[in-house]
Amino acid sequence: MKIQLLNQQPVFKALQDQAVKVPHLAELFQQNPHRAQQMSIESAGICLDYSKQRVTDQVLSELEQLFYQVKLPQSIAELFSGAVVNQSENRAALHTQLRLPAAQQPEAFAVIEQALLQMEALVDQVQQGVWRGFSGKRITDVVNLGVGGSDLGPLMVTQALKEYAEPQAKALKVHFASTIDGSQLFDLLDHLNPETTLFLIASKSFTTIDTLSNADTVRAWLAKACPSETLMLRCHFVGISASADKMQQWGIAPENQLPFWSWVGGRFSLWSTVGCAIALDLGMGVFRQLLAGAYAMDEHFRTAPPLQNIPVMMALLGVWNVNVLDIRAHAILPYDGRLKYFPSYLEQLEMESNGKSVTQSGEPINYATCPVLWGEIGANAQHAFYQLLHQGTQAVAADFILAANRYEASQSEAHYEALIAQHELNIANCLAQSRVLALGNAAVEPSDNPFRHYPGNQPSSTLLLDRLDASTLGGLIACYEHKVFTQAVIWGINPFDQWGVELGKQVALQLQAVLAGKGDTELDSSTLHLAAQINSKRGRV
Amino acid sequence: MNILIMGSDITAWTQAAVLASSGCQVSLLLDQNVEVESSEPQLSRLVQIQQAEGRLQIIRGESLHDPQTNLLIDARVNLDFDSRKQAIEQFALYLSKAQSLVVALVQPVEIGTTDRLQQQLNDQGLTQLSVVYWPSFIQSGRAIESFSRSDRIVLGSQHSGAVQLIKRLLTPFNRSLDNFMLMQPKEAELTKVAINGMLATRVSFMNELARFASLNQIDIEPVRQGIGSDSRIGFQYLYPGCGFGGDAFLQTLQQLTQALGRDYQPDLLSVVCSINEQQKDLLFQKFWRFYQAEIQQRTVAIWGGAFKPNSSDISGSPALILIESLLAHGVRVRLYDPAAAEALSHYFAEHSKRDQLVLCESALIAAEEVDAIMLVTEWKEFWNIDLAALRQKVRQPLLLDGRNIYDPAYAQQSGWIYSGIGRGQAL
Repeated sequence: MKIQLLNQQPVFKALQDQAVKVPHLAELFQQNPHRAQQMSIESAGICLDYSKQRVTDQVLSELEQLFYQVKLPQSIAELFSGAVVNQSENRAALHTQLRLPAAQQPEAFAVIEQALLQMEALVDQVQQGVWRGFSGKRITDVVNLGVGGSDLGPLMVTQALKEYAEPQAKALKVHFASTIDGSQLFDLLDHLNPETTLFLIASKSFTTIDTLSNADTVRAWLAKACPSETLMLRCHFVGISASADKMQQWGIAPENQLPFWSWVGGRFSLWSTVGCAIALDLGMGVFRQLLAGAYAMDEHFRTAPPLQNIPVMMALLGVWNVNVLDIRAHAILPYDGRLKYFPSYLEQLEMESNGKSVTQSGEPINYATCPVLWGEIGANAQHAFYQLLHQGTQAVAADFILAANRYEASQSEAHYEALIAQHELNIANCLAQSRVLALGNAAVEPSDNPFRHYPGNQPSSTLLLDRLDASTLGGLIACYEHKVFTQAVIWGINPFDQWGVELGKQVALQLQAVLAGKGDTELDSSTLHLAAQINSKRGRV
Repeated sequence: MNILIMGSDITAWTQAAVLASSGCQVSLLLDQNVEVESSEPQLSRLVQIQQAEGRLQIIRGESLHDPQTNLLIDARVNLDFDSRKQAIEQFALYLSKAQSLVVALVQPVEIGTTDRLQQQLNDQGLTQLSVVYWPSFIQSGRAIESFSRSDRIVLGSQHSGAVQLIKRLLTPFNRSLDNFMLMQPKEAELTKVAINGMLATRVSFMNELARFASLNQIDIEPVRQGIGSDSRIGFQYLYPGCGFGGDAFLQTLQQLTQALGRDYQPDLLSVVCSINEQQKDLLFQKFWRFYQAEIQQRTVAIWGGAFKPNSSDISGSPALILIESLLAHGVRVRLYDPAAAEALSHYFAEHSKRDQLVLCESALIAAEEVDAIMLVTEWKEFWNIDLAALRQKVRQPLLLDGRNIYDPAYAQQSGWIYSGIGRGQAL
């Protein structure tokens, strides 16, 4: 089926015509004192306020038309029903199925709950001290070896929800190692005890070189301490993969293999057994709440009308900013230290999904797709890149993320009042920054000092959570997943493949040979010269 | 003298029986809903005699208001401050202003409890009550003797009247040597818990040495004797083993650990406790290593479930941890204990793998066709068992001696693969 390009949609022209007609945000707020009330949506403990986006009622109405013109209702139904939405790899993308409550799961997907129960049993064994290392000692440390989706999701979630860790999970320390250069492992192996450390190897294909090179290093480290290879494999390695064969080949014991499936994309996999590190670190109950929160967002996305639909609105506003207002940068600004890794998580989710320039059927497209997306804890970013947002020459859109309630479990602490004061200071900063970005000079007393000129009109949305917990975090992540999918449908691209990442992997293999002095010399002079210099500096001429 | 004792554990029973036997009129008020089973035959007999003589009255669950009472002994355990205070207040309400009463706390308490209690009672106008701290040093296994012939009597009191009363009470038990020590209540409270802390530290230190010994072909036994022979140290509590237990002991340790850990410094005692927890897992780890983790479907005999010999008390016993781990790994357990079998049966009654646990009538029956024997409690009847004959009973001659009661050479000659705690054979 030929995909209709965004700029061929009838309503796209109308949207472009609107671009020049939308006044400055300061003026929009002046015109309508109820703008914020009219431009906020709430569902599943998350409130989206998009009143600081540069849109008018006319724009919204045309974006709504766009939603129907690109047949999003049909695409959403297809996504949930398991249709082949990933055409270049000829498969479904059923991360939503992973979150469906077990009682509603059709027979064909009974494997999902089975895998979760297998994972739960494993988590229970480790947390209760039943699982033993080769010498019979209990496990004290777990290291998750994975990269990309097998790393960022669990890392981000465990960091965000630490305070909710269940009592039985508290004694166990969970670590993450992802980098191909072994830096993180190098630090970890220095102080971990091989007798009491369990490694999770998470890789969808179980061929990811980054992860498997880390796993090989660990294997060598363990082999020195453990007298028997069988015992080492049985007691210290758990495999998490869609490829049972590859796990088998590597040596993962059958009972230590946690499955997931080809129809779960890597960057959508934290809901599967890839979440094992989450369950180990925080407890299986927390992991289940995360799934439940995502499910609530799935239901909202599936059923709410477009202008009342949080992920759909985030997607439509994103398309408006990128394709009509030509804003090619998007900042993720959580005003919450617990969401430290959330920007990195979204960098992968959005840019790996939608950093594409051909349609689902492979034809080139001639408009922008995913913007450059980056971020940082908001209050820290104020001391880093906000200068550029306020007075630079780039237009940048932003998402502010904020939890209304905080520190509720610390009410009896002596420093509770002080913590609440910090929380309120943080909220004040978040609101101040989005206000100044939107209104510019209009937010302050007028000044004719050119250094104190603030143009404003930088659009942003604010995602306000009741509180950051497993349920709202699950919803928040699902929200961005659905935003990504919605945008991909509008752009006509496939968000579920990542061919751009493949080439580099192949070329790396060529270059390994060059470094070993065996490669072909047909490469470009820059690469050859660098390789020669490196070999010379390492004394390997 | 008229005495009311509140509490249900071995301290309460022992004090009740022994004080009655010295001529006091004693009422023992048991905690409600507590099952009472004296684990000491001698003590049970003494209780019966004193009841028959009419000097000991046992009451359960209801409060008692006897205006004749001179001494109220509070031997209740696991109690928060407010509930403790409440029961004492209740009792005191029925006293006239003129009637004085000594209240003696005898269980380990949070440091400062005695003074705090006195202060709060005073504030409520109950100034005729004198609260003292009189720690009990009763040991299960030798309960009567450890009370009636105590090495020392420590009393923390600020009231001379109370001191006189306790001294008079203890005259029959303190005749050969006056070992009465009077100090401030807080000092007595700390003394009580610190003694247990010191003993636990000695044992854990020996266990740490034993671990080193086992890895370096050193037999800890002559080392232990060498250390003990130094008169500054002495021989007591220098036995490495598979972990110590006992409710009272563990409870005081926990209290002291909390008290010492309050300033966020890593304290010695928490390491002492964690070494002890590791020791309780040691026999399982040896079993695991010996069979290279292939332990499912195997059978193990456990000899001894009580936390120490001559007691049916299983609280904090290493056997509990061991059985739990073995059952979780699909190992069948044949347990023998001359006194604690019933308590163990009760403890594991609701366990999902209860059917893997068999309680046996004798040590030899327990050993039939097993893949290992784990000796957990050093009951006297195990010491001189015929190891060569025993060898014929088992499937695999693996003897894991958690109390170092056998001579390794003799065990090996009798055909056993023997491993004690720090006896030089790493397993």
